[in-house]
Parts: sequence; structure tokens; C-alpha cells
Amino acid sequence: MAGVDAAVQISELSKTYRGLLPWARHEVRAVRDVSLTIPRGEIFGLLGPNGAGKTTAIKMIAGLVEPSRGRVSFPAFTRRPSIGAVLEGSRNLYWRLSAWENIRYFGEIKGVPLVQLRRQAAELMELFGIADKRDRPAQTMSRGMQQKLAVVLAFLGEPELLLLDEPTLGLDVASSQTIQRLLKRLCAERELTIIVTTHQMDVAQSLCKRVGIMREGEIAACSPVAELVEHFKRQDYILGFNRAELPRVEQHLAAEQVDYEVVDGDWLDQARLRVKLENARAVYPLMAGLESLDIELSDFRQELPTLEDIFLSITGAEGGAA
Amino acid sequence: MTRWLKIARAELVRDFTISLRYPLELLTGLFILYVLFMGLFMGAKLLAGQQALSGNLDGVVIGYTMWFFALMAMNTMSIDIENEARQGTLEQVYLNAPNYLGLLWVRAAVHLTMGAGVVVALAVLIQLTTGHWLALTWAAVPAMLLTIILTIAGLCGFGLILGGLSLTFKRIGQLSALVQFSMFFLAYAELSSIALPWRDIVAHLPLARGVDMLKSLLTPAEAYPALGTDLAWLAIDSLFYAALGSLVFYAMERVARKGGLLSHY
Repeated sequence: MAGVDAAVQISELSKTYRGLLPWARHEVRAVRDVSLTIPRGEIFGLLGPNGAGKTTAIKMIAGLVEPSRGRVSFPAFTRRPSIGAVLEGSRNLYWRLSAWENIRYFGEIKGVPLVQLRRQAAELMELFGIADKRDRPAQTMSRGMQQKLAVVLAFLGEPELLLLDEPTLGLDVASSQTIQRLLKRLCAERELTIIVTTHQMDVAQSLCKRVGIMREGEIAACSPVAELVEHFKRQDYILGFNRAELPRVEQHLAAEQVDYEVVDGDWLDQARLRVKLENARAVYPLMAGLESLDIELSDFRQELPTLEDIFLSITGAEGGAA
Repeated sequence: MTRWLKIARAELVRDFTISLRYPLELLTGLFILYVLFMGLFMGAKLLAGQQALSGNLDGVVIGYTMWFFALMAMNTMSIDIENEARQGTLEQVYLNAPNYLGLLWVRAAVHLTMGAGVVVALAVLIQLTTGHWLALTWAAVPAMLLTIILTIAGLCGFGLILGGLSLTFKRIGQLSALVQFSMFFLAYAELSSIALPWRDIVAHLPLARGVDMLKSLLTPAEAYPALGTDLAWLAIDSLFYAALGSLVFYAMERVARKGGLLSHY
């Protein structure tokens, strides 16, 4: 993937923070030997628990933090690409200024001509559903609106690289989905490269083509989402049938020494079991056995791991993907 | 329009918008400045008596207005950085502006130009209240303006040293307060009454020579043969502080980037 199409090339990037004062010379290794290549036009997700080094990595790409070792380059561009970023979410805004005033200030210091800025602001605010908040001070907006405005600011001047640190954090489902949908659309339309960090696995799964999972400053896994799912896929199957048949099915599975568990949930008259098989071929005798018992299945499917399952198994994090 | 002029316009519009949106804050600030001056004026009158004070009133007004400029320069170059880091916009400005140090200089020019309006209004108010009018002659205006600009440039440079420290260490409120207090003394330092070699040392500190020159320029009855030399020294000092401030800021900015401190507060 390396070469001129790589929008971002990260080579052995490391960052060790050292205390500034002589009596506090403690060291924290935030990022260790991270190497990544992100092609132009890709949405790449950086996932990891708190303190994994995601934000430091993204800030090194933005040039806001100086690496201790390694380098970040942009081979697809003849000069440093124009970068848009959401790094502190709604804190990126001047709260005393309105949406338009924020757009005007950041756009002008970015060098976007005022005429272009007016057009772009109208278009982006309309897209993100904040056009009616144009003249309201940011401090009077809801958190979701502020977050959308922060994303709008990142799009000003048509950046070639977008760095988004937790862009949907704290948003309601509808707002989060709006932002995801628009990011995908704008990325496709403008051949924009996006690097996004998130704690929300569903966001990463729906938004990103590839993800890198960070653990203790290192990239523990980096693959297309579909490949990761395939790699971590287990021979787990969900069986659904009439609840009245549950004792007979359990008796059969126990006799056949098949590992299973009852799936919690309110399924009314339906029982659901998660059956863990040795391999895919073990499906045949399982089916034959159930057929011989005359069990009518209402559900039968292979259970694919979610990105959250993969994340947990890689990072070993407990209590969710936080 | 060049990029930096656009940045100046953006800063002007932002400042103006905030000032108009929160007029009470602006008016309260002006009122506090006015009350502070009147407190200073009344205190001086009590200590020195009316007769003794009338000769020095020009000095009191000039010293006070220049101290106000010094506070504005310090605020723009250091306290504003601390505030931006606290509210979370510092990194965003860093990412969007072509050069943060350049932006700070432009911001200072805009703030201080706007501040000049406040200073003029305050000076008129003070003169109306005290009944004492500065003996300003049109002939002295160009030299006064040049003196004010050079003095402020030196103050901004000095402020950048604090700004650099603020970028790295964030909480420098106590140091800022100490510097602001020191500036007050420099604004009222009577260079002629200080013995050598201290006089020369104090004259090279920010503010002192500028205020001294402005007081001399406001005394048209007396000739000012050393104006050229003083202007040259003021320019050298200001250039030195501007260069030193920029260098310290640049070095501290690197430390902040190395330590990932730009967004910390």
C-alpha cells in the first residue's frame, strides 16, 4: 500500500513524554513504533482503551506533538496537506461566538476567501442540520449541535486530511448517525482521507474501512474490518426454537457433548441457544440430531463477532471498550 | 488582501463581536480602570497636595495610560494563551493559522489598536474629571505616536516571554501578577531622580524610557535635544525585547510540542 497513493505514511513513530522539571523526570511511553500506511480516500479508525496512545498518535500526525522517534509523511501530496481536525470536540469552539462567527474566524485564519467561506458555511451548515443555528452563540447550543459545528469547522477550506478525535462522543444516536453518514459521503465525494479515533465500536464498524487497534502505545492489530471479523470468527451458532422444546434440546446437546449456553433475552415463546462447535463440519451432525428429534428451528445463523468482541479479545480490556 | 491582513480582519471582527455582545463586561472594565485612576489621583493628591500634584499630573495620566497598554500587551501575549488552552481552542488556532507566533503579533496589533480607542476615551474622561488637560501640541504628535508604538512593541516582546512560559507551564498567574505590578512601578519611575548606574539599567527595562520620553514630549516649554538619541535607544531596546520574546516563545513552543502540552491547562 505504500507509495504515492499513501495519504499518510507513518514509520516507526514513537513518543515518550518526559517530565519538564528535573525533580519530576518520570517517563511515559505513549506511542511505540507505530507504522501505518493510509491510502488516499480511506476512512481509517484508531481504536484502543484510554491511555492506549490514540490521541497522541493523531496529534503527531497533525504536527501538534513532536515525535520522539520515527516520522509522519504524506507521499500522495507534493506539500503538507491541508488538515482539518476535531481534537477537543465542542471545546474547539469560541463559545461566545455564533456558528457563523466561529466559521468566519477559523476560515479566515486558515486563508479561505470570505466569498468561498460564505458559500461553504451555508452548504455545510445545511448538510449538518445546523443552518437555523447560524446566528446563535455556541454556548447556547446543545452538545450535539456544538459537536456538529466542530465537524463543520474541520471541513472548512476543503481539507485533504481530516483528523477526528472522538467525533461522535456524547451524541445521541440520530446525531451520531448523521455525522457518520455525512463523513462517508463527503469522504467519497472529495477523495478525502479521514483518520478517526473512537471508543464506539459500532461507529468504527460502520464508518471505517480499516481499523488499527492500539494497546499500550502499540498497534496490536491493523486490518480491514471485514478481515478482522473473519479472523476472529468462531464456530458459534444461534439456534432458535419453541421454548417448550428446550429440555429436549438441552438433553440432546448434553448427550452429544456439545458446548452451549442459553442466550438471555425476552423472546416470548422462543428459546435461543448459542452453540459452540469445534468446526464448521460439526454443523451437519447437530442438524441431523435436531431433525431426528423433530425440532422446528425458527432461527439458525452463525454468530459473527462484533468489533467490540474483537477489541476486547485483543486489548484484554474489561468492562467495555472504554 | 494578503493572508496576514485577513487574519488581522478576523481578529478585529472576533474582538469587536465579543465586545458588542457583552457590553456590560466592556463597560465594567472601563469603569474599573476609571475608578482605579481616580483612586490613584486622589491618593496622590492627598500625599502631595494640590499644588505639588498639578505639575506632575501629566506624568500620572501618561504613566497610567501606558500601564494600561502594558497590561493589554501582557494579556494578549500570555494570559490569552492560558485562556485559549483552558477553553480548548489553542490547538485549533495552531492548526489553522499559518504561524502562531505571527498570529500573536497580529492579534496584539489589533487588540492594542482597539485598546487605543479605550485609552483615548479614558484619557478624555480623566481630564474632564480632574479638570487638568494634557498640554498636547500637534507638533509633538508624530514623535509621541512613534514613542508609543516602539514602547508597546517592546512590551509585547516582553509579554511573549511570559507567553512562552504560559504555553509550557500554563499556570503562571502569580508571575503575571508580579510582572504587572512591576510594570506599574516602571510606568511611574522618575528616571531623572534615579542615581547612576541604576538610571541606565531602569531605562533599558520595558516601559520606563517610553513613559519618560512621553512626559518630556508633553512639556513643550522645554527643549528636547536628546529626542533622536532616546528614540534610537527605545528602538534598540524594543527590538531586543521583541527578538528575545520571539526566541523564548519559539523555544518554549518546541518544549510544549515535545511535551504534548499545547492542549493542557
